[in-house]
Amino acid sequence: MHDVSTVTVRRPDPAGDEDVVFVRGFRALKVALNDWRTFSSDTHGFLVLTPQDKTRTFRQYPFEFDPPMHTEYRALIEPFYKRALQPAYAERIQDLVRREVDALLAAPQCAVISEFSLPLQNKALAILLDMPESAATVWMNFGTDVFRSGSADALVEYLEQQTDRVDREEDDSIFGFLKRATFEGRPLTRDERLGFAHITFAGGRDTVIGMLTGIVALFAVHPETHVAIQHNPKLTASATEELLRFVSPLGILTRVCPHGGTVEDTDVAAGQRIALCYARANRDPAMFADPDTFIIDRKPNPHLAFGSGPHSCLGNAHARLLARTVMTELAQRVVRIEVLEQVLDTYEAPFTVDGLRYARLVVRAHARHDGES
Amino acid sequence: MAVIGFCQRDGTIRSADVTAGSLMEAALDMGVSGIEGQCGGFLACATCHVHVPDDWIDRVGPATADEVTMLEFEPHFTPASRLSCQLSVCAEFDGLIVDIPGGVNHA
Repeated sequence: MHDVSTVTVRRPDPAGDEDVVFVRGFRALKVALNDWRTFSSDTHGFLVLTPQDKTRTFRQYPFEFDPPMHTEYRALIEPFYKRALQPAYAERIQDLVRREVDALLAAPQCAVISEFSLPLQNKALAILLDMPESAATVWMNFGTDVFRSGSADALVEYLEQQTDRVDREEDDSIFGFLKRATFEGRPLTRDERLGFAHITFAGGRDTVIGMLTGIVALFAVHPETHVAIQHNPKLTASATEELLRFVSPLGILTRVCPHGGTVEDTDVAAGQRIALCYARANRDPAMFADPDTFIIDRKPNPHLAFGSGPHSCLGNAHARLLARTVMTELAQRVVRIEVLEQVLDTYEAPFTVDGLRYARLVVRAHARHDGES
Repeated sequence: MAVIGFCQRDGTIRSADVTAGSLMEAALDMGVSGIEGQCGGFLACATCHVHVPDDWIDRVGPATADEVTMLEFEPHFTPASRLSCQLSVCAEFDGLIVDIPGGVNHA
């Protein structure tokens, strides 16, 4: 059973010279996430545990702001993300997933992260951002995580090119949307436009890839789940929520505490950071019975995979739709997923949890024939 | 059979005669603005939050502890708050009109 108490730990990276308060329990985390006055996002580059991104001179919008400015910035971009709730959007995602599962079944073996999840995440992102699918080819070169794969400079350069492009030619993409958007009655500045785009590419990348890899792994490692969804497709909704809880694709973020505060009985000094341990909180036995077991129809399932409060994930509708569509398609068309090679991802251990998180996963997917289950 | 209404944030009401399912499902069928029902009714989100009018709360009942876990930090959380996915349509609800929080009728 995981320890979910709040604890102060020296930052766990080679350059770690900072004591961070790790918030690991469900209740404590949910309170902290909603207490933005004490635990602030008003910073530049310090909302990830190991600050890695020295490549951008602009903030990420609306991520690196507190209410009330955050609220206004978020309201500006939210309609673009809410397109994921429209039936026409779901049809485009379904068509894409069908083609990617075709490729999965045609391959003698598949390195899931690089050959299934990465292409699918990027092509789905093209739908989310209303860009041509061909753009995804460029984005795939950024790797599964722009910071871990050293592509942060290339990302900023790409966003600058796209921002310049829509100054010359209008389009309906996220870049065109940001060009036309206004804040407090004025057009967005160049930094605002870059900052809105940056969070989408940086934040919606490794998380979605982790989620998609987790689905393939779930069906491979827990075939009973695969069979259950084959027999009852309605289970995809609860299975998606449980997958999000169990995998917690976003394991950890941080907040700054400019004036000091407390988490449970732990003091947080002025200027100290707290770490938001989403993955740990999602295994808190005080909230989730039998937390280390994947329960396909778990209810209630108040997981924090998308966070909580003003900064909850803007891409949640897109992510849920993508997960459900992949589960449905795999259940209908794949009879078995065989694991050929697996290496677990321990990048953020011990502050996250084990559970369908892989650094490498190679599988062979076997097609389902009529009547087979 | 019960006629159920939803007062949307702009003050307009959508209503229909509903025979079964949850209020959230009825709202999605009607295309009610402000009800998303993203998690599908598994108490994993609060995107089907509604307010039940004072004169109906005794019949409908208050939010359960599980609902409060999802709702307590939501904007516009009040004793009238419910997750509409947890309300099964029944004949007793005939005439009920719930509000989408944050609309013109709310401060």
